[in-house]
Amino acid sequence: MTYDVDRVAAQFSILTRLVQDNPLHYLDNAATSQVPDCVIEAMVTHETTRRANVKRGVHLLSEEADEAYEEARAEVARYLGADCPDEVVFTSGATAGINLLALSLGQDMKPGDEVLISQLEHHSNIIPWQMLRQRTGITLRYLPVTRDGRIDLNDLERCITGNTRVVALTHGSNVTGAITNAGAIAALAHDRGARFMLDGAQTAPHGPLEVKALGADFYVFSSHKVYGPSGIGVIWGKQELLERMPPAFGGGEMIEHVDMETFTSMSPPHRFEAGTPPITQAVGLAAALKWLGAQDLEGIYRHLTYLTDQLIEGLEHMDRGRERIRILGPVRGEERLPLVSFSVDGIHPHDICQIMNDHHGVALRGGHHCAQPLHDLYGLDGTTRASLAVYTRKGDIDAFFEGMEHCLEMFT
Amino acid sequence: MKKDLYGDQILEWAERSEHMGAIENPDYEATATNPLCGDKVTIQVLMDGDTIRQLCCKVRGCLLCKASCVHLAHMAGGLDRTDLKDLRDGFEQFLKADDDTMDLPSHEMFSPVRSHKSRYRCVLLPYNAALKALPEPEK
Repeated sequence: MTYDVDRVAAQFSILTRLVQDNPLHYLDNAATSQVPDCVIEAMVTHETTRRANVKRGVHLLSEEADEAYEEARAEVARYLGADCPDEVVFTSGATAGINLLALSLGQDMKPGDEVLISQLEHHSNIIPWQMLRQRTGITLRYLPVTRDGRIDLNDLERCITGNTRVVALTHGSNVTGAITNAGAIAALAHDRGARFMLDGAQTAPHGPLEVKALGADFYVFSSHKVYGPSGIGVIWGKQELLERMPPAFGGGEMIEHVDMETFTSMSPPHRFEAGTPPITQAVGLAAALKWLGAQDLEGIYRHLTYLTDQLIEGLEHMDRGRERIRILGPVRGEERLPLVSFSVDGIHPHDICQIMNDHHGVALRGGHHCAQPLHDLYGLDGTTRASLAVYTRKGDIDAFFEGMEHCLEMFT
Repeated sequence: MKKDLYGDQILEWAERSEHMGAIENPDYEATATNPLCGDKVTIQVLMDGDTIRQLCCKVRGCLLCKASCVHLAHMAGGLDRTDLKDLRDGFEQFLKADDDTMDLPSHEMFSPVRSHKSRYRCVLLPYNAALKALPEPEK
């Protein structure tokens, strides 16, 4: 059966708006995906019928808000294939999640301990560990990147040592689209006694996961990339590990008892959720995951794989004989996320993005995509990125190529 | 409808090569970057007392940034730091002003940038680098 992309796109009202008289062609989904109407409705219903703080109230609205918040946690647990909802910690986003893990896991680290990341990482999975190094004197090590934009695992045996405490890697690159072979890394990390964290910001939007099968100890992602609202993200962690970890932040909602000298904290996940959590956003995230899980996921995969191939093939064709366009990431036909980053000799990514927006209604992203070390490695100042989602249609790709022809003509 | 951002004048200025490059023994030099996109402008300055004799730039940036850089280099001769600061602030006010409520004839070609807030940094980056290069007068 053919994937009915028009039926899916019709559920996103925002896609009907115009950009300077052109239809909107939204290809910036790796930064933020759009939200289906049912998710907005779920949040409006919550705000207009159940709005209250959670965890401590005894009145009706508070009880209902609490129930909605914990049901959202259960929905996330189901999406991730977690053992139980208590393994799901709500944060303000994937960035906050990684920072929280670096703070908590880092509390007993000392000089000589090592954290291993890669050169493929988003700044969100570099800077928290650099800050941990500043605080504790640990050693931060990097796995290199292959020419086709994957984490180079050839040196894995040497890079994960007996001193490695955490291996923290992207599950899928927001620049090259390469998907990390998590299983091989998990086995070695665990063999050496290290914790293994996956940054799932780019992979979580592509359907329900089985985090345990991935071999991860921790998995983080953001709501705003999985068709949910901004302002909320998730850490999934193995319960026995979360139980042993200290809180990263203190405040209301995370304590059992406080006196003027000390405190005792609650059990996970509440231990890690100091302060009033993003309640309405949790309701929205749950609605988004439920909605996504009910879609034709195999059809989406085939559809987006086809469109991604079209993007790569089209750029290659456009460049034939000119050799101005450089496409990052795995070559056409190999597994990758539905996003394509590329550079064009002599044309700045922001100039491409501007022309695409102003004249063709195509929303792209240009720059270093919060991955400066990776761009430095490639000797590029920045790239232009087209990233797809469940509602991306052939017409969006056609508009992209029409705009690219215009850019090449205009700036040559 | 927004004005076309890439008018002929902008494209022409962005392609000009005078004042691009290095000064052999500059009196002052500084680099400013745009953290949003990683663009980088390096400004070198040769002085006559307190005023600029020559300003040269190296740009790793978009067309708007390049055009603004060359344009600034053309205008910089004879300015001191206070003049340069006034010029920069006036340019920023011009960008932020509602259409046609403020004239700045010397910068008229940048008027289409007014409706693209995300690009203000691109055209102001050379000014920020130049101000960073010139020492503030002693109080």
